[in-house]
Parts: sequence; C-alpha cells; structure tokens
Amino acid sequence: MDNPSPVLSMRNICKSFSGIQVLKAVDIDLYPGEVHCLVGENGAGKSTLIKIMSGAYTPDNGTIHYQGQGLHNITPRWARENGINTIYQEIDLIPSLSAVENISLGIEPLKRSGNIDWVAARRRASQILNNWGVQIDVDVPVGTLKVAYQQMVAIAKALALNSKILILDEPTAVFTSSEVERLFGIIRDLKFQGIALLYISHHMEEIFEIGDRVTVLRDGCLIRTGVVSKFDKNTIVKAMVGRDIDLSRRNGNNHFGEEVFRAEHLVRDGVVRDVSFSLRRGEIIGVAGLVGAGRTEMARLLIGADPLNSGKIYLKGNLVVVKSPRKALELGIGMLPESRKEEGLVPVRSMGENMAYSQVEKTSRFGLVDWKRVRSAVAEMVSAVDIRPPRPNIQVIYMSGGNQQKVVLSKLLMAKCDVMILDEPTRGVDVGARMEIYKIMQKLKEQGKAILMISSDLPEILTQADRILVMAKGCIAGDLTADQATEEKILSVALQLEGEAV
Amino acid sequence: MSMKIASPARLTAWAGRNTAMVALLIVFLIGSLFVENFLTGLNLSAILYQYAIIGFLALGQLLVILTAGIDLSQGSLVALTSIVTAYMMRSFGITVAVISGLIASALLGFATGFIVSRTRIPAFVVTLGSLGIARGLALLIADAKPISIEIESFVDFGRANLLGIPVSAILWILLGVGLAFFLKNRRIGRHIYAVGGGEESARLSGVDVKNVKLLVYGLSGLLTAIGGIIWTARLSSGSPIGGTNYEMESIAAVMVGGGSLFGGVGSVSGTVVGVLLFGVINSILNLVGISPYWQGTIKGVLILAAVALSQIRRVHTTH
Repeated sequence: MDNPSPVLSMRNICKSFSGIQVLKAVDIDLYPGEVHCLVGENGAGKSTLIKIMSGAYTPDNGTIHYQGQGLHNITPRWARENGINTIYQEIDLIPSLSAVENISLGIEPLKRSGNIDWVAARRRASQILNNWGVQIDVDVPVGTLKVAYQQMVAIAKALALNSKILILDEPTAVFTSSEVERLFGIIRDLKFQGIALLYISHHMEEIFEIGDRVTVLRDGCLIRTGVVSKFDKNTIVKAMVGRDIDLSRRNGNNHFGEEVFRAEHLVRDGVVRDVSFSLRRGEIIGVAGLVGAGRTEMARLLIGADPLNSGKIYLKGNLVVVKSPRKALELGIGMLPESRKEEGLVPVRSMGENMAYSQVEKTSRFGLVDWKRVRSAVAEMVSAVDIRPPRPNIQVIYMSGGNQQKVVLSKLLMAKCDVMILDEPTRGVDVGARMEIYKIMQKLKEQGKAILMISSDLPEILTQADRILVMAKGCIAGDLTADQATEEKILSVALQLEGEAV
Repeated sequence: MSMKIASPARLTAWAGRNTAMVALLIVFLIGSLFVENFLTGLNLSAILYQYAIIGFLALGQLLVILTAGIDLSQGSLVALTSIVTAYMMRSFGITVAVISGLIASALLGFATGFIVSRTRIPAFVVTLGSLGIARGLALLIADAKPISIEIESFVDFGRANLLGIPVSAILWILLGVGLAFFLKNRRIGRHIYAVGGGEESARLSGVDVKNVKLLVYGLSGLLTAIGGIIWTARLSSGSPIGGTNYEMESIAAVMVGGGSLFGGVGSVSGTVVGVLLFGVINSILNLVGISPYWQGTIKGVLILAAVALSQIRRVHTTH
C-alpha cells in the first residue's frame, strides 16, 4: 500500500444494550482510497459498529483515532463536521424536504446576515449530482423521487461537506442492476478522490467486485479481517456463520400428490393479464420475474386481497370464490406477505402476542379468549420454527430479521393451510436463518402442503423449487421444471416478453 | 402574460395546491353576495378583531405541529396570561403587567417543551397536563373571579385601528410575515421542518433536535400570550375561564391550511388563510342567525371535510 496510515482506527470497541453485549473488543481500520467491506449475519454487530463510527451510539469501552487524533467517542454533529458520513439503509433523508434542503441540512451555507444562502445551497447540490450525470428536480420533496435517486441524493448529502469517510449500509438492497452499476461508478470515483469507504452488503459478488479489504463480524466479535484477494466466497461465508453451509440443490422427494389448487385465466386490469397454473400436494412452485412483472399482484388475487376481474380458482377440484384474505384462510389458503413489518407483524407487541392474533378466534369459547390454550399453541409454534432464544415476551422490534420472519411464518403454520403462498420469504434474512426457513419449507412439503414461493433470488428459486413459473408483464411467460431451469434461461424468459410491443 | 395566468390548466393546478385559499374565496363570495351586512367595513374589521387572537395561537400551533407535536395548552394559557396581566396591572402599570403576562405563558411553554424534548412522554399528554396546570393557576390567582382593568390606554389598545384595520390584525400579519421569513431563511427555521419530517435523520444530520422542540413549545407559549394580552384588552378584564377550546380552533386552522399532524408539512400562509376561513364562516353563521350550538357542529363538519380533502389531494400527489 502506498498510503499505509489509516484515516480511522478503532480499537477494542465494546458496547452493550441492557446487559446484552453486542460488540466485544472489535478493531477496525479504514484507509483512504479503499473500500472496506463489513460483513456478518443480521445481529452480528455491524449496525452497532457503524453507529458508533457516526456518533449515533457511544461505545462503552475502546479507543478511536481519527486522522491521528485520539477520541473517546464521536457525536453526530462532530462526525459530520469532520468528514465521517453514513448512508443508512432506511432512515436517511427527510422525505418532505427537497434535495437541496436535505443536502444542506445541518450545514446550511449562510449569508453575512445569518440568513441561509439558498443560491449557494442549490449550486452545491446540483454540482455534485450533475457530476454523476444524475438529472433530477432538486426542488421537489425527495419522497417523490425513485429510491435509487434518493440514495444518490443521500450520498451527495454526505459529500457536500468534504467527506473523509463514507459508510454505506446495504445501499443496493432495492436497486436494479443498472442502478447498482451507476452506484459502483460513483464509489470508484470517490475512491479516486481518496475517500475511505466502509461498505456493508449481503451480496458476496459486490464484495469481490468493489472491495479492497474485508472484515467479518460474528456475534459481536471480530472473526477475520484482511485484503479481499486473500478470501474467497466460501471462506467469508464460513467465517460469517461459523460452519459450512450447503448452498447446493437439495435432493428432494419428488413424489407429488393430487392437485389441490388450480387457477384459470386470472385477470386483474392493469396488473395481471392472464395467469393459469396448478399446484399439487408436496410441490413447491417458484415464481420468478422482474420487479413489476405482477407476481405479488397475482398472489394477492389468490388470497382475495384484491378482487378478480375474471378467472376461476379451484380448490381440491371445487370452484371457490375467494372474497377476502379471511375467507382464504378459512378455505386453507394462506400467504406470507412480502413486507413483514407492514403487513405481517405488529412490531411493538410481543412475539407471543403476534403469534396469538391468528389463534384468538379458534381458541376462544363463548367469545372469551382461552389464554391457556393460546399459550400452549404459541409454545408449540416457537419450537416448530425454532426461534432462538424462545422468549415469547420479547417485543418484535428487538428481534432479528430472521426471527421476525419465523414469527410470521409460524402464524401461517398455525392457520394449518393446505396452500401456502410465500412472498420473498428470505428477504433481509441472514444466511443461517435462511437455511432454517428452507428446512421448514421442506418439512411442509413432506407433510403434503402445496407451496407457491415468489422470489427475486434466482439461486433460491433454483435450489428450492420443483417447478418454476416465470412471469412477465402480468402473464406466465414460462413454465420450467427444476432440471431444465438455469439462471440464464429464467432471465431470458423474463426479459423476452418485456421487449415485445403490447 | 395575462393569458398565461388565466389559462384554465394553471388555474386548476393552483387551486389544487391551495384548497384553503379557494375555500376562503368561495365562502367570502357567498357572504358578499347573499348575506346582508357581511361586506361592510364594520363586519370585516370585527372578523379581524376576533380572529387575529386565534391567529397568534395558530402561528404558535403551526411551529409545534411542524415538529410533529401538538399544543393542547393554548386555551388555558390565554386565561393564565389574561389573569396575570390583569392582576399585575392593578399595582404595577401596563408595561410590567404585559411583560409579566408574556413571561408567565412563555415560561410554562418552555417548561412543556423541556418535558417533551427530554422525555419520551407524547406531546399530547404533556400539553394536556399543561392545560390543567395553566387553568388551575389562573383560577387560583384570580380566586375564580374575573379581574377588571381600569387603565384606559390598555383598553384602547385592544380597540385601536389604523385606516380602519385593527392594530392587532396588522401586528398578526407582520408577525406572520416575519415568521415565514424565519422558517424559510434561518437555520433554526429549516431545522423545525427537518425535525418533523424525520427526527432521527435530522439528529444524524447534526440538528439539535432537543432544543428545536424546546424552542417551538416556548414560542407557542409566547405567541399564545400575545393573543391572550390582546384578548384581555378587548375584554377590559382578566378571565380565568376564558380561551376555552381555542386550541381546537388553532389546530384546525393549521390543518385546514395544509399542515400535517405527522409533521414536516405546513406553512404560515396556509395557516393565515385557515384562520381567516374560520373567521369568515363564523361571521356568516352569526349574521344569518344560526344558533351557536349549531355553529359548533357545522364548524366541526367543515374541519373534517377540509382535512379529508387535503388527504385525498396528498394521496394523489404522492402516487
């Protein structure tokens, strides 16, 4: 390295919350002009570490050296004024304010009179964005912009004050591939300017594409750190989970039972044009497709969340009318929603209570809830989906993404449905929990349940599904068996119709 | 140029953004055409006399609502201000009395702000507490009786005119213009919007969230006190039971003027229009001779309609 002294160096950083230690003596160094990737499962302590770096949390212990200066802790304002900036995954910009206002927030340029110099603020904002070729209206509320543009405004905000360190927390989670490329272009530009970047991502490919150095955390401990060239995919995954993970295709039992579910020519104006398929007992169908292909919209028709314009649904050979999600559950069709926080959980209530919501009616007598039966049902489900630690009283907001997903999944299991629709079951879930969710799916399959799994993760579809439906523009564009399907094939089918004139 | 302004598309777009203004124009037109004695200097000036007071409260309420808070204590603070002012005026004269009234209300406002900004107690609950405290203090000081004011010059101030326009209304508008400038061009002004638009983001951007919150409740107390002093002068006495439900009118004015209880959205101009809208509606209902009991109900329905309309509009613009 031609520049061997780190711009930021943290030693022996410890932090605990209400008695639980989330960081145990972690060291990390950031070098100018380098992309340092921070990886680890959800709950490994990544977020806590970057929040200490950006001043949102104060460490219990440890030393921080920034540009040779020793500090005990950092405040948000100090961090921003001294060039340490963080692009958070969710909370970053203020949606009701414009790009100009967001970029200058907290560092507003002032005229001599002490009033804000809006001309200078606007010039600075447009200059940064134009440099990247980002053409947006800088005066509309950023909440009305596309998410990828919001992310770029957020980076511009960080750069408005001469950044020395830029922390990116899973920036590409919601990006399309062309947007990822544009972001990587920006990152390379920043590296060239000598900025030190800390990059957090779940995507292995991204680490090898833009990373120079990598640090792996597990359970709050530093497991491994070093230059990226000394690692490969397997060593990183192994360090993250502490054991070997089998990502290869399972050899499932492919004896399917009779048909339980059939959809014929489902139509909903504007989103679903013509969808027909059937599901057998013990079968997992994967639904692939690009964002906007109508997958979630199709699933919502199956459970009656949106009304059908035309089409028929048969359950065990009988024509049924699914008027509402409640009716669907009665019939034995359940869905795991895509956004668990909004649709699947009441985050401020406890895990047990969330599970019990689906049980209250079944276990009540004379209109009164039988809490004893609810509790035993909850205990049964906690062990069935293997939530660790099994503490029914913990508030859902304090649980990891994987455990939250298991709570939602357990609600679905409790409803004892024959047909289960899983919409992005492993989104935002770490590798370990992902494996366990797959295990649960296999168990359901053996029990003779029929599963429709919507996923944007092609490796997941390829390894888990028995059959793959590819959707494009509201239609089933392809129906592939697991043996025929490859990533290339699925993508080419998904894209085929996209190019066709309608 | 004049063609451009008159173009129907532009006009509809403008109307869509300024529902409250359109409503005000329509109601004003209806009053002018169909209601006797509405379009007279005397009546218009009476509207301003009465609603400038709510106007000061609404400006304070706006600041609080912009930070996603709410101030339920305003009506009681009007009573406290009026009692403190009237009580002090007996022995110390106008200047000391007015300053005491302002300080009493502002102090309670800052105390409220201190609790809201330093604890996790919701503003709704904290200001409900302040509501009780202020009313109770007013009743205690006054021994539950009104305190009359004999000083002529103070009473005259409440009725003062400039070219037929009440001085209190002129003061209100000047203060509104100043506040709009402050919100747009001063750092703290922008930070008020930022806190309501996204508290955590604002904090991480280096905004002093705690003190911004402290400030808005303090300013709400101070602006309420100005309204309270004008109210006292008009009444020529201090009343411990006055100002009841004034906070409802100020909240309604902010919301009808485009403010959002979720914070970050709202403007001085919208709030001023909201206040005037209620003033005009109130005047028409009085002139037509509708019973005060019905008036409350009608205003309630109008508030719901206005807020529902602005919600629909918001849904349309965000999608």
